[in-house]
This record gives sequence, C-alpha cells and structure tokens, in this order.
Amino acid sequence: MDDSKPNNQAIDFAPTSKERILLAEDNEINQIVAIKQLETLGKNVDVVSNGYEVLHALNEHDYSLILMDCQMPELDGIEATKLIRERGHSKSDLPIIALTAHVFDEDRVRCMAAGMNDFLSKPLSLEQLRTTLASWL
Amino acid sequence: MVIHQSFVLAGFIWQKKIRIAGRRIKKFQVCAGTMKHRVKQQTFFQQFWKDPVIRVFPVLFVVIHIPYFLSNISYDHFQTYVWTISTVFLLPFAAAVLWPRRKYPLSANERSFWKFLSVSFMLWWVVSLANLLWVASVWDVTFDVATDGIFLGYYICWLLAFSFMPHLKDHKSFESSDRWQLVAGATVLSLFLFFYFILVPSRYTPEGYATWVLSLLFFCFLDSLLTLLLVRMALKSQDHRWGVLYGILAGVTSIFALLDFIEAMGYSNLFQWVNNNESEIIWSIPYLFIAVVVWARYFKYPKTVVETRPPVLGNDQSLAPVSPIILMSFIMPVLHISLLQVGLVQEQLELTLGYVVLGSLAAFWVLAILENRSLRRSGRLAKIHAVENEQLRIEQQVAKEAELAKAQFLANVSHEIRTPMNGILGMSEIIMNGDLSSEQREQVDLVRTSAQGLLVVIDDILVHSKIEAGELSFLHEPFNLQKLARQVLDLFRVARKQKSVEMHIEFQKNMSINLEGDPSRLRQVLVNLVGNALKFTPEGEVRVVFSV
Repeated sequence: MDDSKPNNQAIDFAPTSKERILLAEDNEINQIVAIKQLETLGKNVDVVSNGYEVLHALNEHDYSLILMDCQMPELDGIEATKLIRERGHSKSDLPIIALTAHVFDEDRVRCMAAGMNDFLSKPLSLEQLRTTLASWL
Repeated sequence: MVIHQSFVLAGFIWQKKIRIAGRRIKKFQVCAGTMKHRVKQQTFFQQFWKDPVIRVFPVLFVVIHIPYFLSNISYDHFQTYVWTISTVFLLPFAAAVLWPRRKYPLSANERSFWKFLSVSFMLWWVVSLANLLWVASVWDVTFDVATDGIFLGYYICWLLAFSFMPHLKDHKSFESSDRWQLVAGATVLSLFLFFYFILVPSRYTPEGYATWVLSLLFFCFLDSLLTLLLVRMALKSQDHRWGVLYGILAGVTSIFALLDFIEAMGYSNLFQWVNNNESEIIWSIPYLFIAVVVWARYFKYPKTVVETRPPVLGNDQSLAPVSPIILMSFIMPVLHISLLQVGLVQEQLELTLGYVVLGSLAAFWVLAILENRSLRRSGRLAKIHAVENEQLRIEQQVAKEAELAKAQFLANVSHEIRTPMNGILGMSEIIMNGDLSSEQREQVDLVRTSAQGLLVVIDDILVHSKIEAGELSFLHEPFNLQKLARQVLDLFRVARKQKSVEMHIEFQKNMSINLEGDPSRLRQVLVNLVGNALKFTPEGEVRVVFSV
C-alpha cells in the first residue's frame, strides 16, 4: 500500500530496470484497483492524482507509458495531454492512454484529438488492460 | 390590339403592386410576431397611385387617343398612328427596368424579360416607321398591308417574348411543351407574314379576300393558343377562384358567340362581313372554341381547394400580367358584338374600342377591389399565423432544451456509476486471481457477474437515449466473436444454474471469428436475445448459433 500513495517517495523508489508506467487518477479506490491490476501484469507504476502532478513527474523521470484519467481536478487529462505533446513528447515516444468512465464516441474523439494514443473505458478488465499495454509497450 | 398590349403591361404593374403588397404582409407578420407595433396596411389603390410608372401609364393612354378623337382621320390611318405611337407605352416600362431596385422591385428574371420585350418593341417601332415612310411607297403596297404587317409584328414579338420569359422557366405550371407550342406558333406566323407580304397585293382586291380571312383565322388561332395557355396556367395555379371566373366568362362568351354566329349566318355572306368591317364575327369562332375548352378545363379541375394558397390572388408569379389579357380576350368581342346588335355602334370599330377600354378598365378595377379584400383577409390570417408560429417555435425550443438536459443527465449518471463500478469489478477480478476456496471464488464471481449485469442495464439506457436523440453511431474496430459470446454467456451463469438449462455456443464451419464492427452493440443484442431465451425456457437447452 505504501507505493500506492501519490507522493515523491514512491516515484524515487521505483526501480528503473523494468518498464515504468505513470498512472494519473484522482479517485483513490480506482488508484488502488489500477495499481493492483498493473502489479498483476508485472508492471512498475507511479501514481499521481492530477495533471500538474503528471507534468511534475515527467520532469523527474522517464516513463514508458501514461494511463491518464480524463476528469481530474485542477488540470484534467485532456489539457495535460496537450501540454505534454507541446513539450515535445511525441506519440511514439510516450504513449498516453485515456482511462475514463465516459463511454461516448465524442469523448473518444476528444481524447484522440488531444494527442492520446488509445482509449480504455471503466470499468476496466484485466484482459483489456493487458491487450492495450501489450500493443503500446 | 392596343388594348391587348396595354393590358398586358397594366397587368404587369398590377403584379408588381401585388408583390409589394406581399412584402408588406411579411413586414406585418414580423410585427404581429412581436406584437409591439401595428402596421397600417395600404389599400391597393394607395399603392397603385404611389408608383410613378402607374401614374404615367393612363396619362399616356389618353394623350395618344386625343388626336384621333379631335380629327376626322380614318380608322385605318389612326390604327397605324396608334400602333406607332403606342410603343411610347414601352418608355415607362423601359424606365421601370432601369429604375432603382429600391423603388421598383424587379427580380433579375423579370428585369431581363422586360429588357428583352422593350428591345423587341423598340425594333418593331423602327420597322413601323420605316413601313409608313418608305416601304409602302417604294414597294407599292397599300397602307392596310403595311398596317397588317405591323399587327403581325406585334404578335411575333409578344409570342417570342412570352415563350422565353425567363421567370417562366421555374414556373410550376409552365411546361417546356407550352414554350415550344408558343415558339411553333411564332414560327408559323413568321412564315405567314412572309407569304402575306410577298403574295398578297391588297385585302380589298377580290383575290385578296380569302387570304385576308385566312390571316384573321391565323390571328385567331394564335390568340387562342396564347389565351388557352394562359387559362391553363391559371387553372393549374389551383386557386379555384380563377376557375370560377373563367367558368363564368366561358359561359357568357359561349352564349354571345353562338347567338351572333347563328344570326350572322342567317343574313350575311362571308365577304360581306369582311367588307362591312364586321370581321369580328369571325373571331367568335375561336372564342367559341376557347369557351368550350375553358369549360372542359373548368370541369376537369373543379373547385380545387388549395390549403397552402398564396396569400394574394395572382401572387403566383406570372399570372397577374396575363390576367387582363385573358379578360380582354373575352370581353372585347362580346362587348363589340353586343354594341353592334343594340345599334349603339353603326359600323366602325373605333367607338367600340372606347367602350371596350372602359369595360376592360372596369373589369380591371373590379379585380383590383377583389384583390384588395383578399389582401386584407390574408393580412389578418398572416397575423394569426405569426402568433401561432411564434408559440410553436417556443414550444420546440423548450422541447429541444429538455431533450438536451436529459441526455446530459444520462451521461453524468453513466459516468458516476461507472467510476465505483470500476472498483467493484476490478477488485473482484484481482481477488479471484488470489488464493481462494472454490466456494469463495464462486461468491466473488457472483459479485462480478451482478456488477456486469448492472453495466449492461446502464448501457441499454444510454443507447436508448442516443437512439431517441438520433445520435447513435457505430464503432468499427476488430473484435473476437468467440470471446464476446463467452462473456455474454458468463453473465447468465447463475440464472442458468438455478434453472438447470444447458447453454451452448456454435459457430458455422470455416467462419471467421475475428470480425470488425461494434462489439458493445453486438453484446447488447446478444444479451437481450439470450436473456429472453433463458427467461422463457423452463428446462432443456439454449443454443446460440453464429453463421454468416
């Protein structure tokens, strides 16, 4: 449970040998779920809870992929993605996958337009997560 | 002919006035919609006299006739004089063409039509003058022949102009066959003109009589053709008042024409009619024909009630300019013949023409008054309609907003349910991956299945609202049919066990399992089908068979 908290320590402790994934999610329960799911799949994960923290974490470390919730306080996933793309992280260089409870096509289109690579809708099954990660890592 | 021509032009002005009145109604509608202002509607006559072209028109008409009434010149001379001078009528219309749009609202089509007509008449005017001053003396043809030539020239100009009237192109009741009939008429007339000038020395020589009668018949034929086309258009305009009007006119014309014809047959011979200048009787033959056809048409389109009637009589684009000519065609011979019969007119046409002018003007004014009443009534209707439309618009707006709010609400509900659902489903899955007894595993699986069932319900609601809003769209993505079918059957695992119903999935041989489409929509369809199958199968087996 220690590394599930969104703090700097968790970021520092993560080993660099494995692929490291950044999870941006504001709902604590869903943070836990996603961490457990990623651990089950054998991935290292750092957790942040809004868009600014994502940008901050990117300054600190290199990540191989970001799982981004769209609706977050302060700076939402869409805006954060736009900023990340503006800062020169290309789609192939750093895949960003939307993770959202919105299921309409408009939402999907909005995410893609912001520069995200893929779209996962909640509730998220382990199988879906595995397939999607496999295609981007 | 002067009167024919002038009435066509008068009718055009009438149409313009009606159009202006139509615009006023629009303005009135807008005001009625806001209910803040009331616009005093101008009567037809007020509008009529406001127009400079209208003011010039009757003055010119009178001025042209003054020399004749003051002098002793013969009618034949006067006729030519009138023909020549009547082109002056065109001047105000040329002015109308060039007038600023603001003052005289002509559409581009009408503008081009009147330009064309003006140029035609101007050319004809030049030809007429040449005829008078030069042709008659050089070619040694009589003055009458020259006059008749001018007569024919007028017809040709009119027919050609009418055939190519650009704004008739889009007129719903003017078919291209109508146009070609008119063109054919004009062509025949041109040939006849040539024949007439070259071969006929004078209509007053014995050998000229037959040709003269023939020429009159040609006039009648072409006039009838034109009139019939106009009547047809009027009847096709589906305003039953036109039908009634022509019905009455046809009746009156039939009676007069028939009486006159029978009487004339009794004590005259053909050449005497011509000599006595009663050739108008010959006109009764085509008019009788017209009457019959109009009757036939009247009964063919009986009392056509129009629900979406144009607000004013004759507002239907091009009917107004031709309506007086139709009236004239009926009134002129009837009036002339009846005046001859009662002895008010001895032999000459000219006095009769005066009466004809008066009678036609009277008819014109009567129509104008009727028009005015119709305008007022439609003004009231427009007001009522504007209020109704406004109410309808507000209601539509409210309904639209409600629909939008509903969709937004459903989207929010879906989002809020899915977020905790992620916790339930995700965690159940993780627990099931751990070390559990088979009983515990089954229990957690029950939680998972129930939560998935709930998701299906939410999806159904969302899809339903999307269908209602007409926004349902489909994805095109690859999916595995076998996996999808398994997931669906998994949802019913518990229900299946309780009922002891066996479930099987079968695929057609060689069928591709990896498909492209919208898996969530397909899942919904399958869930509903399998759910119903299971619900109504007390025991036995449910088979899901896929084939392409």
